Amino acid sequence: MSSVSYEPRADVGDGFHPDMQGEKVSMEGRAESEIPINYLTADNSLKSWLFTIDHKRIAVLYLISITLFFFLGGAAASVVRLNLMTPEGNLIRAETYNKMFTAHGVIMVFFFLIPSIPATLGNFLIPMMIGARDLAFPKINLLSWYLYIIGGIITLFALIMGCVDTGWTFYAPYSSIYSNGWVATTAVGIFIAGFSSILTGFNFIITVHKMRAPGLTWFRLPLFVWSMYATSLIQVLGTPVLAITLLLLAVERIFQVGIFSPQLGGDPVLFQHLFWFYSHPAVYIMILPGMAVISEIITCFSRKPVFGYRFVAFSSIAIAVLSFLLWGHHMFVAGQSTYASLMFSLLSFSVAIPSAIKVFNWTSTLYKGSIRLNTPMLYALGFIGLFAIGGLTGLYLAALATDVHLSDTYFVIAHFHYIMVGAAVMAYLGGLHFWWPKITGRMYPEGWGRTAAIVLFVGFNLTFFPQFIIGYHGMPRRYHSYAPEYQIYNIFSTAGATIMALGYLMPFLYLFWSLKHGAVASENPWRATGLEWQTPSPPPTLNFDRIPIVTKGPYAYSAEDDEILDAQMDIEAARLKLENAAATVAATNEGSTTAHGANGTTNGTTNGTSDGKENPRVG
Amino acid sequence: MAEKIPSQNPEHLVDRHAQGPNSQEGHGHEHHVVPVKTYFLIIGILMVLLVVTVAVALLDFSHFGAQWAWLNIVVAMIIAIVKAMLILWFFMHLKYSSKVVWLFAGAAFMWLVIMFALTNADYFTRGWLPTPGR
Amino acid sequence: MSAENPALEHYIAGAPAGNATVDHDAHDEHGDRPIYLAHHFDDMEQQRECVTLGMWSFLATEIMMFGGLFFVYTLYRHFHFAAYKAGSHHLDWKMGTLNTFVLLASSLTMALAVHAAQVREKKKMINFLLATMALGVAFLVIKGFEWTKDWNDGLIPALQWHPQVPAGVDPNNMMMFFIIYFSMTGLHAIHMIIGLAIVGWMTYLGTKDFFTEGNDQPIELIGLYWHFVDIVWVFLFPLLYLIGGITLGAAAHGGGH
Repeated sequence: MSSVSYEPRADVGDGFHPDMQGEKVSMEGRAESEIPINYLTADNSLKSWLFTIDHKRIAVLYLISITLFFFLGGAAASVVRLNLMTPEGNLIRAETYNKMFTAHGVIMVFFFLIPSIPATLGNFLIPMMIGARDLAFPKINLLSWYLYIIGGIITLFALIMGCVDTGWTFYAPYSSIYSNGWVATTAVGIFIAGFSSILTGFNFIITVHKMRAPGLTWFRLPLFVWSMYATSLIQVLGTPVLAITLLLLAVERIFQVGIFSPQLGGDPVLFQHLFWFYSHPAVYIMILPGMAVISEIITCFSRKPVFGYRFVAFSSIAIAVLSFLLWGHHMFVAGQSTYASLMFSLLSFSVAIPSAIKVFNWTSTLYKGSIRLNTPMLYALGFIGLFAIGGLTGLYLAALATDVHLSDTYFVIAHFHYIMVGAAVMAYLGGLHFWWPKITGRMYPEGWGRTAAIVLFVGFNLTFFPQFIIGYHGMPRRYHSYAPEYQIYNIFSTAGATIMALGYLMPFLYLFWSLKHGAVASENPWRATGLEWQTPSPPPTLNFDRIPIVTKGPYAYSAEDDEILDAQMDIEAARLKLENAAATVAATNEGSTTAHGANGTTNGTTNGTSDGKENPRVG
Repeated sequence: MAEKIPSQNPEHLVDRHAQGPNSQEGHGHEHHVVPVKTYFLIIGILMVLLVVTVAVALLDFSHFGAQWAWLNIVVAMIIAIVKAMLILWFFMHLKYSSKVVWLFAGAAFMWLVIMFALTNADYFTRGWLPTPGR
Repeated sequence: MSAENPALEHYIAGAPAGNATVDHDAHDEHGDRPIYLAHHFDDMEQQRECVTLGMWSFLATEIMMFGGLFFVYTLYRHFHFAAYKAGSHHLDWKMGTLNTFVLLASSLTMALAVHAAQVREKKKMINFLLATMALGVAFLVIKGFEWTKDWNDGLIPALQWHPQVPAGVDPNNMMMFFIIYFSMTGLHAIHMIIGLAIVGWMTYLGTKDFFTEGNDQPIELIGLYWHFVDIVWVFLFPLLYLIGGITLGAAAHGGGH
């Protein structure tokens, strides 16, 4: 009975609202008492949204803002890729090209990737996964969104007014003394957004420490929570160093004094140390939440508990701690001492170990699982493969000897895009699809979902795999023009980017579409474990009627239980059919006038009420 | 307050001793009120240490010979650390706080150490290996 | 609902049922819940622990932020010691010592204010908070005098820079010292000002019986912040004012050696 995917069953209402059977639904015309009050419908005024302290609403606010920044960053990337179609690269001027890749980097790193999964899925799910009513500091949560918006507006202002051409890494003294862009303003914008990140981080940490439901010990937590906790550690401990670095950069720029400028006695490498002390752990802020999502999706769609729970949990913490010891690998060719470079190189290899442990454990979870290839699973499988490639190519860069040749080439760009886009963004999309029914109460169209996932996978690989090749052959990064022999690869890359854009546009469109027209979802369409699935979809404002008491560990999946459930539903469907038929026969025997009425209502009510015992559903 | 509703699971599966994170056990002195005398004692020590700091700086170890000049900063830092520990332990109530608070405070200082140690590792190992330019 | 997925029965007991519209728990026992207990916390104990950890997390971020600045100081001190020493001798260590004394005293008054709040003595608490504020303002006033003197001596990089640089010292390096000096003390002063504003606000709220009816937690939290700012100064003082030894009467002229 194992099915390849979860499809809505029209005969018994499993997974989707029984009335709807996967079709268009509208809430109008239903009695007011039937429409459940959830966090979305409770008070729809603008004021209630802008002053909300409900973590779920704040997650939705973040979702909207992050999507906006994603498309802005993507637009900048499109300009870059279009320019790179020809070796002369004269679509735009060189300075404009510099500004475009800087804008792409700044927006994508600070305003999309760092907040993406933590601020949307993390905010939404962490309290629900631990059985709490909200995060520890709801108002600080709202403040973090406002800081994100203010930081975003300031940075966008800087980008519109004239942009920054220093690269997202802002290396001094170019950025502080020589650049003609709006560096100080951008630095202030990112400074403020950094505080948004810090506030989210310590909110999560304290929530997980102190607000777990009774019986929910640390080792009964879903791995999502472990990984988000690890992410939060990095956010809290690393981001302040970025703050002070940007502050000093702004001081140097505004007062034209030489903190990092050699002529005035400063040291440019100091800037790099301070910058990368944050920015290397930052990339783990981007990937750990992706890993968090994957742990949940893989277990659910292979119907198996995760392999090696404690190993995965401790690996997340290990990655967070080790990530602070590696930053020098960005500075191998910057004049760092060879001895220190050796040390950083060795440490960089060490962080691959917990990452690999997690990949092995996920793969082992798949082994002998009952695999369902729904959209979230496609994204998750894509994650595993692409993260593996990205991680392995990272080893080339961690090795001091090869890094000397590959530094500042397209190899680096391909490596980090495999992790940040191939892994992190795909995990984000996978998580978004997985929890979409919980967040919105609607299902996305499965066929479109799978198509988009495949389109994205193909487009992504076409975009970035050629970049490994040209990087290896020496094409430098951040150059608007290049030697003619690289052109064919760049064309492949741009073509892939177009397909990738399609792969991002499709979810944007159909997810939007599903808000009004998607099938209404039940509490637990995926038959997933986890406390968040024990609430209605969408959940009520305070999450739980009663705080649950947890008595066992997570991921109590079992393919056998699923088969029993499927069989039960087949029996139920057959019984309903029989009832229907009996009712029709009875009605026909009684007389024709009542028959029509009985027929008309029997179908509707039978599904809605007689399986109420098996599948109690909201509204 | 969350109701502890009766569990529907058999007794042997329910861990009645599973302490939720809110339990008082093992925490002890949440509301410990530090006596005022302690505060005055500590401030006295802090003031004395301040005088010592200035006295040592006036003393200037390099008077004993240039090779002892490094003692200036070391002694000053040791005294500063002692002062900081006193403030942390008594004024900031670390002595009476739970282990989790110790963990947070400790982690912060640990990370500072990481930043100092590894960055200095670059600057102070330049020239150790015969690679040109570093 | 657990019947829908038998596997879940193992995971959860007493799962919430059906349509939750209003949380009855909080309102049912409204009489038992103090008004200063936030709606999402189960009891005062949880709130207390959470906010304490929250303040410590914030202090951890501050440690890392100031830590970055301290590192910049450390690095340049190592490479340009002579310039640092020259720069430090331009500063008035006597005012620095006085400032340290003032700030330590303010830590004492803050700790006493926390104590008063804990034992619910409103008048004492208000008085100690006011004393803390007064000492904090005194700190800033003394700082203001110091900086005015620095301005007159031409020690402000980029804005008013015409110092007396002793022989053998690179003026750029000495400027670096002063950039770091003003960044560190400036950031510290900003934190003092914010702290003063919050203490002022709490003093006002304290007069309205906010903190002496069992809700002493906020005073304790601002106390943590205040002590942290004090600790930063405890490190700043020897590092900035006492480099390479001091001599009596040296700072009176602000001249180089």
